[in-house]
Amino acid sequence: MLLLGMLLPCADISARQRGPARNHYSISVLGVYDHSRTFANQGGFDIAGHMPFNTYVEADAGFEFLGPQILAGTFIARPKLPLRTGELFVDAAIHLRAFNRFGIGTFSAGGSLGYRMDYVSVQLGVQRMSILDFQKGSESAGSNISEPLNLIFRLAVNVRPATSPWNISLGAGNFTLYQYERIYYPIFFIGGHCDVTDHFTAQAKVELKPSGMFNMTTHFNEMSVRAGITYRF
Amino acid sequence: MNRLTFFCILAGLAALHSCNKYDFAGFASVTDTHVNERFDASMKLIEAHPVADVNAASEDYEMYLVTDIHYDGTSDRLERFVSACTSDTVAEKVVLCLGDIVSGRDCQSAAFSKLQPLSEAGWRFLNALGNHDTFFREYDKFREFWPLTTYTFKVNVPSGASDLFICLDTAEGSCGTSQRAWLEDQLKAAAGKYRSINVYTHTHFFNTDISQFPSGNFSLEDTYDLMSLFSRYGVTSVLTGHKHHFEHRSFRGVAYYTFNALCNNRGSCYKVTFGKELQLKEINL
Repeated sequence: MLLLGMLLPCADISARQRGPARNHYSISVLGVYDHSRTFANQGGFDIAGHMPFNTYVEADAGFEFLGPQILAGTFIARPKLPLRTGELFVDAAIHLRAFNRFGIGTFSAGGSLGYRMDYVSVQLGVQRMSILDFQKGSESAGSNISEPLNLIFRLAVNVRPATSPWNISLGAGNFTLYQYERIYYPIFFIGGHCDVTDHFTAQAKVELKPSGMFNMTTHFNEMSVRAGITYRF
Repeated sequence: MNRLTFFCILAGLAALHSCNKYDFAGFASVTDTHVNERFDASMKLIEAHPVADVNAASEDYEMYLVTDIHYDGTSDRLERFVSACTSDTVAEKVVLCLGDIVSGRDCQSAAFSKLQPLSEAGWRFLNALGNHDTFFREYDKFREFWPLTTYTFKVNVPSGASDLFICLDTAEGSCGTSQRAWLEDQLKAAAGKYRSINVYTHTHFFNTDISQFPSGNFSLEDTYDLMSLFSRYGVTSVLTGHKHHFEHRSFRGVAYYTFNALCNNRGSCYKVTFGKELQLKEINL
């Protein structure tokens, strides 16, 4: 909680649901610290790009390099429709997350319907997920497993209108730009952003992923901290 | 908010809190013990009293397997299961239980009593801890009857070979750091020594079926970590429950089974033949 409190004044790109940055091409670079029961401590960085082609179509792309163990990439094409009270959008996303140590990865593709307003953003959809075997050279290699239907969801709340030069957001969902989890693994997040100049925004975000929530025996599983800058063109 | 809404919310919360089957408060709160604590306690017990080996009468031997009993005193399914075992002439007289013996409050003692005829008939009931066994912060009561959560035992066959069985505690959808390290040590030490290595635990690995929503399992990282470990050290089969639905998948030569629940409307247990290959016979109860 102390850590969360220290990071509150910073920023979160995902909180910028309707802010000025949404109307500009931008690139973000963030440092990542991750602690999980599986990998203990890891560090790495994220690079994300936002491409607003016009009023009705935009795209996001993100790449994460987390230690030597995890590489992740996501591309989201987003048709959108501005309305009087907010913006209706559809995310069509493809996502790949490779765990080098295991030679196993996740490929997922899916779509979700969302609505973002000044203070609240909600998103709900489905995806198909495949567990990929990257191991080469053994007879049993390549035995991929598909999980046919996974519900994806996300709810974010901003403390100020989304167009504000600084903001704080918090919420939960089972996906981020860098990982898509099963429905049973909500990722709780809190973060914020602050425009430093006309072109630069500082941002930070803390994510917490508990284990076993839908087993009803919940414990800490993973926490990650991201901090960095966004450059708006 | 009007008074009626307020009253309805209060009544709803009271109803959830008083529910004796599902631990709604546990949805987002910790249980009274953590997997690491249970692992430590289990290791202390095993140090003093290791689980005895099973000496099989033949190269291919049979064991009974049951999962997700969810005993709450309202069904006679457990009695029927016990009766199926005790009336069978299977030589090894071993039951592997993959967890969730009980559902609801204060059922541990009654469930244990229902299983007593098994031990009186010379059967061994080897249990893996399920998430429901820890509900309502009642794990302390549960462990009075089933104190081991992580352990191994061997089955020796007449040719001199042995099969290794490893029981893991995955009741909270995570292996935990201590148990994870122990598991790797066990698998390293077992490499090349056994005819087969069989892991049994409560939580399933793959969500390829959605009939039992919501039934959470491991995070993707934990799933891949364990799958990688199992394939690297030559685990033969991974036997799980929790999903209440039968499924068989293979990944890198490891066979993953998820078994149907005893508590289902069409509940069943299984007679499993361990040998050169694993064979299953489903027994509807």
